[in-house]
Amino acid sequence: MFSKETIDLYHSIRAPQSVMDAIDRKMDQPAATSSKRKNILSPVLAAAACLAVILWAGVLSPESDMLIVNGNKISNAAVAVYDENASRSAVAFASNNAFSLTLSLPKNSQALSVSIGELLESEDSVKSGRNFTWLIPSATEETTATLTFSIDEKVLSYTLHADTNGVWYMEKTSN
Amino acid sequence: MGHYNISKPTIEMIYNRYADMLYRLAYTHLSSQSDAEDAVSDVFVTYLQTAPAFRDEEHEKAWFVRVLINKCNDLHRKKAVRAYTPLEEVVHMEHVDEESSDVLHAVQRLPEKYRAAVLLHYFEGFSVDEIAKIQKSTTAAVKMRLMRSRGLLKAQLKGAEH
Repeated sequence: MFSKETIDLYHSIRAPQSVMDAIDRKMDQPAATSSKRKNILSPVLAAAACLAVILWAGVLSPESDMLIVNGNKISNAAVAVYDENASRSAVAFASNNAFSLTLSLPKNSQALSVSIGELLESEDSVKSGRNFTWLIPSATEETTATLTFSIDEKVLSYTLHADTNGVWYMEKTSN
Repeated sequence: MGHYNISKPTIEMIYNRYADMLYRLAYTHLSSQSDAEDAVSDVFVTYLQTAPAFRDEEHEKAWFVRVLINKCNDLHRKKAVRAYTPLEEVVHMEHVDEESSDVLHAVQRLPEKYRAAVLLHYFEGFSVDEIAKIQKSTTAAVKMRLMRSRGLLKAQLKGAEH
């Protein structure tokens, strides 16, 4: 259908250095912004942090059924989650479909179960609630897994699933 | 590397693996060097932000192509006027064969879905099944697009001769 000359001409189009420069800029943008503002905002931030602690302790009670995955609170809206080990080594992950997530659960959570894989509790769980690593040995984009636990006689369920782009999402599926 | 969880060596490795292919596809879709640069850099930023998990390299490659095509379509919708860059300015060949240049221009003028199918199949070596997955379509529909594309290209190139 197409001559070798045409295909060679097409393949002679190459990404200019400016593409990598643009990626570098975009990658560095948030970090640069926060470091510039750090000195100016430090006293303000310190005061705001104190106020937040006072409010948290005295007025607002923390949600008792909070599940946190990779630092993100999981609610009824799907939140993108990622495998921290995979992002450190894309090559290793390419040959291994295992998927793992770091979870933080409230201290008084009980009867934990997962539909696929296993939960490993970490040793630093006493101070900061209960921390786990959820290992799913062979994850694909068709995988849908659930995590269930009970707290104060309430049973909570969360679902983990991937979209067709391979992005993983987690959401609360119980009320 | 900023606030992302992917290391600089990893992103460089992924960049070296896909940047040229994505840029070729983006330029041929958008006919604009600056828009192609935006589309490709946006794809890598999406990769950094979502750190998707891939089954294998084929899955990874398809993800990059699918996200790129979506970015190109977004740019098409958002920007009515774009800075046009002639093909001769982006190819790296000492002598540009006029016939090959005419064929690539004809590919650029194909409807979007036809153009993507032609580029991926004939120029990037993707199978019909892989393209169907990328375009969220069926194998039969991709085969039909390729067949119609061949007809359109022949008509365009025949018209150019006269």
